[in-house]
Amino acid sequence: MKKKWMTLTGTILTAAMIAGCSGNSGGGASEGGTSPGADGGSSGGKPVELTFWGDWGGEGQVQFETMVKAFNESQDRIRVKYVLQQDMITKFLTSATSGGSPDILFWDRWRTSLYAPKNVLHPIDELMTRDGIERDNYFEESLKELTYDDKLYGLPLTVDARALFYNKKMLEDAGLEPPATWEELAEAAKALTKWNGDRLEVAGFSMSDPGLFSMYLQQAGGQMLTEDGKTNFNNEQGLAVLSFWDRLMNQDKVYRIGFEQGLGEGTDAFVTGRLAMHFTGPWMLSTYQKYGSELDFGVVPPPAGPNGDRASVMGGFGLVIPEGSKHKDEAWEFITWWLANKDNAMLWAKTSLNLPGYKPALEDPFFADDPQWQPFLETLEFAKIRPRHPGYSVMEVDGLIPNLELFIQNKQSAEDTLAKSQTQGDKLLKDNEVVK
Amino acid sequence: MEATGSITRARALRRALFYLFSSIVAIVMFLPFYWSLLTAIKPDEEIFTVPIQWIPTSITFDHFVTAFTTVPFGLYFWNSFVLAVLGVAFNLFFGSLSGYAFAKLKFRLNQPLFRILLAAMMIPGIVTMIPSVYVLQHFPLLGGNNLQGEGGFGLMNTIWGVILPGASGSFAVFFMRQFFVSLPSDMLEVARIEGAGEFRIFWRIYLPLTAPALATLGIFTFQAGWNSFLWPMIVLNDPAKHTIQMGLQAFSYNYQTDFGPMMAGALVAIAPILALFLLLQRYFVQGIAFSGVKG
Amino acid sequence: MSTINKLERHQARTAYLFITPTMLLFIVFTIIPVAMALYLSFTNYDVLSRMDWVGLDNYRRLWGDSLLWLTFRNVLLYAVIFVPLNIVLSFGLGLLVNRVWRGIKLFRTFYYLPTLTSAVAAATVWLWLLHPEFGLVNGLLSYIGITGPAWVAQTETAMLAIVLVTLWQSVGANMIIYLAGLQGVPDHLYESARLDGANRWDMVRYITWPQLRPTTFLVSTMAIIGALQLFDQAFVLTQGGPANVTKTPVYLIYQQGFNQLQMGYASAQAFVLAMAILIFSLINMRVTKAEESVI
Repeated sequence: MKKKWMTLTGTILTAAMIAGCSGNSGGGASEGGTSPGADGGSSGGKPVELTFWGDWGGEGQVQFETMVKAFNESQDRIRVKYVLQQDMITKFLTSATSGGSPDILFWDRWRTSLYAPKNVLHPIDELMTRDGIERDNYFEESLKELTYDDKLYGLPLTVDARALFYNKKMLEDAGLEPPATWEELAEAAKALTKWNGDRLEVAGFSMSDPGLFSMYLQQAGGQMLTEDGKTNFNNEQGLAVLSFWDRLMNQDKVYRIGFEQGLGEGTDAFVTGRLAMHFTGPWMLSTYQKYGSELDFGVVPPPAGPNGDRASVMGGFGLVIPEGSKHKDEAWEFITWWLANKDNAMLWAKTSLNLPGYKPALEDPFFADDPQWQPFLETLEFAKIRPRHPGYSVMEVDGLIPNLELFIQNKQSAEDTLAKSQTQGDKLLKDNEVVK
Repeated sequence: MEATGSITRARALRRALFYLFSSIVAIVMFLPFYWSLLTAIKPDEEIFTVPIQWIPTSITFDHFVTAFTTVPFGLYFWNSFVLAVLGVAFNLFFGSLSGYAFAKLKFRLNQPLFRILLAAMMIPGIVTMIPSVYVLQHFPLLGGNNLQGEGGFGLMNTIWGVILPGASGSFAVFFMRQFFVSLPSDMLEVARIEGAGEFRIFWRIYLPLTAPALATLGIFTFQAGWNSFLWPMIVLNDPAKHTIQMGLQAFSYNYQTDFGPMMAGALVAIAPILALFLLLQRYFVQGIAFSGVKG
Repeated sequence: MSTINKLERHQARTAYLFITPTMLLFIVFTIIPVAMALYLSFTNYDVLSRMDWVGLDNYRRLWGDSLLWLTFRNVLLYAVIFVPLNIVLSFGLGLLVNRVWRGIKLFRTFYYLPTLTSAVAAATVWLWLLHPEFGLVNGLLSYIGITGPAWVAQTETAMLAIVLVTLWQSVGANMIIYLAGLQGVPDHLYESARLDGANRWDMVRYITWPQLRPTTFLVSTMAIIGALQLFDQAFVLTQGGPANVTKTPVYLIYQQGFNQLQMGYASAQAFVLAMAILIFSLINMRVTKAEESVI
């Protein structure tokens, strides 16, 4: 028995050792890095090899590779390879130490304000003028998000904005029209909520994401930050939002905290008919269609605030060129092929079911004729990006949202909430501002 | 006779209570695992019903097919396996060697060195991550580097780069040391008087007595290697070297998660550890250690 | 005299030889990165563009960082509840499964399963179990007339929910460590105790528990280190909320270093955390009277 163990162990170990030693082909250069070659264009017949990093795997990877393949087949001077990096930001940061920068990076646009000042991204203004790419073909807001210090750093890949999703059957049964103002929203939410004694059975409207405060604030006519980088919500607009929330949560009781947690991804209360209305974005469309066979839902743009202001938060991805790339011109060619050409933008849109950043593609019948995209297109017209302060997201996460959570749980007054958020928020903004 | 009867009944009652109690605990432990099992075999529409359906109405193996075709599982299995096995081999050997030395041998730096080893576990790994990458990258004379560690890529993108930093972890040393400490020292004295060499004493006498400890450490180390995600992802560039945990990330992207195939993949990923665990159960047999040795 | 010295020197030489592989790996892959991280804590390192010496600025800043001290408070509260419970429960489970009755292997496997369950599966099911309206926990509570809270969403109970889930996930592993340790308790101790008229509880209290002191030291130290470095479950279950009551120091360090790119400051925070862990481990050593012989 012992001998059998020894032989088995020995064999396994030997196999592992051999695998370990032969796996030493190393070569961080060819995969994660750039290949040697003249900067700008290849001499002779060998195509330039580019690496494209992203963190979409599985189906998302298939979507990217469809585009990459189409590009490679459309010409033979450049070959792009998609390399999946599951934790792309960490990998990008460690590659700064270990060398091996990619040529194109799949990019969450809001990161630009933090990374661009550190000179790790390559500005594309000159390339844009050189190739005659029109700024008007993109949502100005999305370009703004990719800009720092008047320099543009990439092109938008997708755009999204939050809209109001509602359960059609529930609204019809109650004889309601989809709400278009705060007042209508509150009334509908109240009518659609069902309590059974102490238990909430159906929530009329979701109050689970205090991060949407910025959207509500703008609907009330306010702005999150001042021009000189300080918080700007401890005022009557902020109070308007909080009183609206108070009315929904505590007076009309349309929601109970924790109601959506534990039902999977926090949005399945909607799929299973426990939630009548909530704000979310176009990324949920395919999930709802996949998991909700009985769900009949509709979408409208977010309701207008008390003074008629309409607002939504625009987000989305872009493609950027790291400063460490050795083939910036070729990388730019790939980017413009994908993002500045209507046919390719449509290929991307149909493959991935995302709204492309290229406006002419949005006028295509694929989008214009499809009712489920209409509300988003309408919303995108007035949606605004998040403020471009590098400390904005941490200000929200650590300064504002914790206080809002206390407010929603009735543990802090509206005035205190706004005051504390302002003090803590301003400090975080200051600690994280750009250091010249 | 009556007395015996009531003793047997009492014993039977105790046994019944034991099984009842243990079963309740087992259910609590098992429930989430059962959910991932269900999710892997339920069709998509049934995954998110509220309340959770504990008995599925229809079963499908589509998710397993999807998992295996979306991601090259076979290859990832092998890569993870190699990493885990090498990790176990190194940690078990070096860990018990050092653990024995710290536990049983007298040398001046025993206490200080051991304390430093322990202290190292107290520093959160995330801040030493980037410096560790630097060390790997600039390792002299490897991967094309010169003496100063410039020019090449050192140990980056190699299996050794993944394994070496954890090859003789503080935990393994700590763990084995504690077990050696609980073993009596008189066998040592006796063996020394008989003229046995130190390594022989370690290898022939003490190490075999720690079979349960080695089995436990083996399971833990294998699991750690098998489940590791962040460090392999950072060190390895070549998709052909990716591990299982990196592969499982494939089912979550663009704010959505494909639960069916992800759970299917996760279950397949658990299988080897479970197998190892069951295999090593034999070493948890009671009281093998001490025949004829005084305490 | 000189023979004894020679013997001792030989022993010491062997000892140093034994620990050399471990120490070499330790110096290259742990000490050097830690030293680098320490250096970085005195700079404004942002990973991508700067690394200028700023002296004690980072440390001065963290002194006034109320959020950091809040996370310390959170994690201390967590540790104070988690560590003792973990030790007691895993010891109890170890005793429970330390027999050769039928089905014992099945129970052991079930108790170990939570350690194998993926974080996503565990979080998904536990979030459902703890759901305020439809969850099993509140359902059971309502049978005895209590309206359960929104465990994960309310500030008063969020940390308790994390204690629950992390205990669930870790007692299995510590159980088998104790199980391994239990194999080493000499049978004859129990024999003589039984002859002296001791009952089962006495034997556990006066024989088993003291004999397992080295094991308990291992389990408690690792539990403290793990508790004070809590990150994964706080991230997956509650994202540090609500209202930052479950935000832990490591979570903050990660945020500061990798999201905000203030790696110098994050390193400083990490070292302060390491200090805290060290202090607690030392206290633990005193309390468990861990090493009356060697250390």
